[in-house]
Amino acid sequence: MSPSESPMAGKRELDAHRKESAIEFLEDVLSLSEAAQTEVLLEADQGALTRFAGNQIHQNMCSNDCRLTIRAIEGEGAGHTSTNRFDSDSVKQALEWARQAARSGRVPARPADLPGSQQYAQIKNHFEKTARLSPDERAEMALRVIKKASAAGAEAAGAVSNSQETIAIANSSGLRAFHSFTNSNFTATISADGFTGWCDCTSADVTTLDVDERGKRALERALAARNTRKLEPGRYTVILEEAAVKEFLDFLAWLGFGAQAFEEGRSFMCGKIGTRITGENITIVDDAFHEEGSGIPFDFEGVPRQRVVLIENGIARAVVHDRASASRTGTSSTGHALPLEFTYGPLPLNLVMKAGDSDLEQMIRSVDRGLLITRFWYCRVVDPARTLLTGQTRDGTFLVENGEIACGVNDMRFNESVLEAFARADMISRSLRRVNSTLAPIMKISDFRFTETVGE
Amino acid sequence: MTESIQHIAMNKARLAGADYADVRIVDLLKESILVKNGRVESAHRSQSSGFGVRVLLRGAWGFSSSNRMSAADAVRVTEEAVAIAHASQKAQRKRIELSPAESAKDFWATPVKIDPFTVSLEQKLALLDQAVSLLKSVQGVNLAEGSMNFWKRKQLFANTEGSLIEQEIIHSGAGVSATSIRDGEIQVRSYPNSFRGQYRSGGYELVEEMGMVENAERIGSEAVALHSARQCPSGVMTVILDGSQLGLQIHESCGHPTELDRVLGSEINFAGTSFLTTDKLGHFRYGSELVNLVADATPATSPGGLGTFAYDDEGIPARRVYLVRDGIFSDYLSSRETAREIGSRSTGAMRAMSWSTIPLVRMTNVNLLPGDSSLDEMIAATDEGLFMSTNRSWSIDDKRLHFQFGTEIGWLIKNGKVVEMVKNPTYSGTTPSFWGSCTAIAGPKEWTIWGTPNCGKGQPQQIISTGHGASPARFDNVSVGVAYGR
Repeated sequence: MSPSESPMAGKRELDAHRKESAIEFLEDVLSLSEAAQTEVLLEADQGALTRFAGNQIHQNMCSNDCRLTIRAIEGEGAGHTSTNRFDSDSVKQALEWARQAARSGRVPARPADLPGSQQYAQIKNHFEKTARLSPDERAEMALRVIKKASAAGAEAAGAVSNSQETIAIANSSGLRAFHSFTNSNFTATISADGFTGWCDCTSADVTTLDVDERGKRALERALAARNTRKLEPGRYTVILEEAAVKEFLDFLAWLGFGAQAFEEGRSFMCGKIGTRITGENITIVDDAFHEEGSGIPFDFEGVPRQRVVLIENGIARAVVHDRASASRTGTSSTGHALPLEFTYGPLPLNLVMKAGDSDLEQMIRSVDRGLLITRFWYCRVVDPARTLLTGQTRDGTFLVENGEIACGVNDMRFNESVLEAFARADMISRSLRRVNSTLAPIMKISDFRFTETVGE
Repeated sequence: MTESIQHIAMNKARLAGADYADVRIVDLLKESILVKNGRVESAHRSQSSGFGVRVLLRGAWGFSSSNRMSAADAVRVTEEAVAIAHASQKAQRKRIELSPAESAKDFWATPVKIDPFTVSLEQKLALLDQAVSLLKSVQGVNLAEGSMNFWKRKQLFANTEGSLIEQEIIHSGAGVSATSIRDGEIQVRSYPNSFRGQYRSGGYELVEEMGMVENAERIGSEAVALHSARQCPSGVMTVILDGSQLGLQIHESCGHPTELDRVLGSEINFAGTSFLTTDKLGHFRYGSELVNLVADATPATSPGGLGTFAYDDEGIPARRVYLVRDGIFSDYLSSRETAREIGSRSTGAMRAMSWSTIPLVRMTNVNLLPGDSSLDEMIAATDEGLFMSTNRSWSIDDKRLHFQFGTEIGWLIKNGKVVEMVKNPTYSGTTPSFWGSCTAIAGPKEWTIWGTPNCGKGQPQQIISTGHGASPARFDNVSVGVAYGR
């Protein structure tokens, strides 16, 4: 536990969020490695979160971590380890552990050679203002929504957060990669007489975070949800707002858009490439470079990320790869490797659904009797092959009758297949909204299956 | 350096005028191994250490943390925590106060026979290879997986009230699973539990005693046989749950709703609230008279649970508390802050995922006390019902009232006998009526503490390991098979 933050005596302390310092540190680590090939990954995370409930701040924190992950390769074997202790002894110990594990030959190196130097596109998603947001500024953002809720006799709960994250990679074949990005998020649940409205917004640039408008919307929804009606379970037309659509997209990624699930025969894409699996108006891509996204230009092996069309006009097109899956299946990595400790295989982390030509108001006007759904909660996979999920609606579920929002309704449990539901989507919004790292539209879907009414 | 950080942080917090402060210095070692179809997918060892300082200043909280562990960092981090506490005062309706607690100076370590970090990778892989090889030998098994996971957490806790507590907690877990894919249908069977197995506090001896090799072929055969099994019928019937599924049922429908921070609204924006509001405390009928649920972190009566320790992350000694006694809702999982809100004292349930996160009210081991029946007796006493084993899906609403679970496998019971395997079984219900329909619980011989290593809560989200003691139990008039209807 030396105070030094460099494995090399006499070197300056590591500033992981600065390119020169991060790369110099990684090159120092590489110089200490005795393995035939070595890859080193630095992940630095500086984050803060102010949490409020009952119209006051009740939890308020910040953290600062930096982690080094080592992949050593000896012959056909690999060894992996990670540490957040950067003194000379700790780094040497980690390097030696990885080398010994590699020499045992039990963990195959896939493939046996590390990639060389790469060219990366630039993504501008680091903003100093976001990185430096102070606890006072976070408190003031929370207060703006708390005051409005309080004035309306309601209560606000939620969180304001900001972070600065850096990923830097170097390997013994000459690859050097560095990307630093920021993130800010505001989310609130407004409660009025036991009924709730919810909002969230995310941006790399905190100055564009739409706290007031989103907070106002959540308050309006909470007030509108009062005098709730209880509906019977059954099939309803639904309008899913972006947060609900995002849940469905994320589960598709998990269940079937990665090469590992595909290779193992667990993906709904298996045997379906080139054939229709959902509605013609459904196109889903993974795009780290989308201007409203939150992408990193390379993956956790330093391979440049590619834009991958996963479903195009309802037709299954491709899954994403890392170097291991690509080498097994005779293709190239699409730049979708996860960090080494994850064992799910490659996954798309920047999903974008193609926009349609409608908007929320048009969708509401087109519904004779249906539900407007703000978000889902506790979605889980019931049957992976069918993409059958269960979950509940939450924080703003409304009955739409004769083209207007009629009243709030009790929350409902659904059991529904994502691909089958998407095949019944007849309206998609022309605007997309970022929910975490996913860009999702609003969708109108018919015959959505609810199996239970939730509530006391 | 550990001693220096502790002294600097506490002195600095006192000088800043803190009402209360604590520091946790944590070193976490983790190893995870995954073998698939005979190929080692991963063998990863990671280490993470750092410290976090929590300051209560004029009734408002501030917390900061760092992986850098010098004296200068102790000063910087404590100053940050103080500054954050000042910022919290900008939106403060009432001062946060803590219920009283005794200070303690102590050391405790999980009793282990074999420290898993002293066992070689070769020895661990030899066991996994054997089990996975047997699984894969079953015709029709497409994917045979085996995994092991180990954690060693060394922690020093000190606070401004004079506590100085060191703990070393070791968790070990392992499991195997077989996936069979046929005609677009995926069936999975796992042992001893799904989602990478069974986890407990203890050493490598737990893994050796698990019986993964002995059960591998049976599990593989069941995964393949499920394709030919009839779809689970839908309707209302008697359901018998095995201990592992019941463990998760307890987790979701008793553990979470008895977290007092949820009840008081802390989690409304994320994890949700609770139907067990304070007006129900002490008289609400939660379940039948057979139902006794305890939150038990104590090493004496809950050894081997993932929520077993000597002190929680506020320095409160481990406690055994009845959450439900003879079917009546009787207490909460709480912290010093939340207990004070209801005029009580902490039940010792504050836990943090890491040095970089604040402690939250979390489950320790929430256990259903054993009854006097047995699985065989329950089946023999059932005219028509369903025995369900090993969780496959789980979902519950944000008040923890309405749930739906699915299991990997089910067996139909007719006239007191198991007559037929069924696939894709699911059941759903409402918490009090479900527990109210509990008509039998198996005895101590069939009682095991199951581990749930992946419980999420809080913003930023923290993942915590919890334990759930359970034996098989029977419930009448349960809705079955709704999920697969059309």
